[in-house]
Amino acid sequence: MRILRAGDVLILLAGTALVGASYAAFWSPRAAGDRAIVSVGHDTVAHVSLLEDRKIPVDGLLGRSLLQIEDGRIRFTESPCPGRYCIHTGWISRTGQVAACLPNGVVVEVEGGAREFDAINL
Amino acid sequence: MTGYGLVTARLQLRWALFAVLLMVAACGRDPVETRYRFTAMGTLVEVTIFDHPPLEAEAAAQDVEALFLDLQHRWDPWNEGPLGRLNQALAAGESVQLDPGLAAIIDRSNDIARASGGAFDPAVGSLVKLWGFDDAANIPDRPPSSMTIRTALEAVRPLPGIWDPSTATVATAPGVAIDLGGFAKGEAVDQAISLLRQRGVGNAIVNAGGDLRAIGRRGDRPWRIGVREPRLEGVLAAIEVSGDQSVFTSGDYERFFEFEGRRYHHILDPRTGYPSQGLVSVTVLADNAATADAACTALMVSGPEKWPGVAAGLGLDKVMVVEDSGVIQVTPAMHERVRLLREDKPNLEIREIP
Amino acid sequence: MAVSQRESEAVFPGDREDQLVAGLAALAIAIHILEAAFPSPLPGVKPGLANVVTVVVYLRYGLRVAAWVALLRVLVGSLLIGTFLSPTFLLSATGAVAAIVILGVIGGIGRGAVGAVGLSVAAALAHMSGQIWVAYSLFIPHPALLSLAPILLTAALVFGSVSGLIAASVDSLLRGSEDPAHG
Repeated sequence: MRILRAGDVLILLAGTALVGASYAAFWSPRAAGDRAIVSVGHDTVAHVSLLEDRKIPVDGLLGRSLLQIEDGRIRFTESPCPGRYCIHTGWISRTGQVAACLPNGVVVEVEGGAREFDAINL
Repeated sequence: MTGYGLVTARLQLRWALFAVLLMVAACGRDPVETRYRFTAMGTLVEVTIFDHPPLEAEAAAQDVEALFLDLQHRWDPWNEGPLGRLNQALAAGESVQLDPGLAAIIDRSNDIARASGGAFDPAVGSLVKLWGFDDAANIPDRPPSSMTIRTALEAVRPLPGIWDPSTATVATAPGVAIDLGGFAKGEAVDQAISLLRQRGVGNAIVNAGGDLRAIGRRGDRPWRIGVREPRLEGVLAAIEVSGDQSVFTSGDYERFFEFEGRRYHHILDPRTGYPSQGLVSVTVLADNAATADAACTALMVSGPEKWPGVAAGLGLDKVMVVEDSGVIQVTPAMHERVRLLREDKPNLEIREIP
Repeated sequence: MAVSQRESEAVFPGDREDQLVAGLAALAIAIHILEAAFPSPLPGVKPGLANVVTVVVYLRYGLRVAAWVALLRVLVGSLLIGTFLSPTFLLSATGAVAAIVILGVIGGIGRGAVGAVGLSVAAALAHMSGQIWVAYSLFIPHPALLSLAPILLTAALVFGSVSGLIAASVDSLLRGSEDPAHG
């Protein structure tokens, strides 16, 4: 009776693959955040997941801003501010990135992954 | 059964101890980092303090907020504060002698105006007001008529021409208004860092909308700063800083409007009265934040060809600019500090500082 | 005649078999207690060396007996150590159950192609995965625990291979001793 059979080798390979996958899954830091914090003024109003595509209305000081989530990114699509600087910021997706409509008091920050940068310019 | 009892006790104690250690190790692997955010000077300011008792850090950050708001009031060109009253007096045709506080900052901005050959000049307040980027309630969506621009431009006098440091006097110049916009944030950041230092904070970043000064380090690694892509999504470059350095970035993507297919942004060329052309972003690495702030404006205005000369005049050697074509230009010293993150090899040009 | 007697002995071990099973169970319990004294990165989470016994029993007496031995080991072991119904107990039990289930599945599908080593490795990985899952779900739902998973699973892979080799040797030793003619 051989000590090692075909099935054993198969299981050893599969086991090694499993262990390798666990390294990949739990040891690599993800820079892309998977959540965003939405705040109005000093209050946090929502933690939203970036994993589902959708649109989120946020009521701020001037009126309603609209946020869009798509493909793990988030951006302002509408805002009552005159300058539209928040919309000009475009898509954000990395942990620590921020988009803000200051006149409306709405700030969106991406969190959840490994923080790659301590500060990013707006 | 004492043997087994001991095993039990040791096991459970080790269990509890380990669970606690795990939590502490995982959560506290990074000693505490305090982040405090507020709005001032028309932007989001974030104070990050590392490895400092949280309550004190929070209190210090709140004092930074108070400092920013105070300076914002003092340096508002159009309110009833010191600068506002100066501008009113100028408009009335008077010459004005300044108190020491305002004199100091006017003097500093004057030095930069001279060193930059006029590319940066705070005496363009009337032009800035004409375009309207500074006023949140009065946002432009079309450029002013060329006539009004020309009129305003003619009334502008370069600051070095009307400022007398020895008497701290601004000579009479109706049509001139002083706007410290391209300088105020840097000054505020410098003062904020001094405040934090006085509180015993050794590792911090004061970040006013991306214009920041960082002191110390973040524990066992330097601070990591990201510069965003001017036109695309994502981060253009990563810079590591430690010790005491300022990283300032200006771009035509911060405040702008588009009209009939053209983009008009907030960084005005004092010589033409129109937004600068040719560069879409400038990043400066320097010691002093106020200089870095003004330099960004000066270099944007100077354009893709002439910026190295102006950088030399300002005593800078670490600059990165991005042209509207997408070409990136860096000084040799900046090339060593910056890590470009574009996946495809970027079109990079090294420019020496004369 | 010989075949049916063998069959019945496999399902209901006779006296001699009974003693052997009891002896193996005692061995499993002893190993279990010894393991309790082992340091581990995560208290209560053990490499599962006692699975050697489980695999040998499974190979010789089938799933049901192996399940009994495994559960006996966990129960009696924890009673003796004093961790009955404690978190450690829950972890051991989950590990044992997971190992048994995997043995049943793989032993059923791969009969003939899979030997002691494969069964042992599969059982050890199932044992460890089960323990990690319970520890994460019930006791420390913290991502830091998951970051330990790769190391623990590697250990399980190694220990599983080692116990597999031991189990294979023990199994062939036992076969050799009982029926030299058919060894």
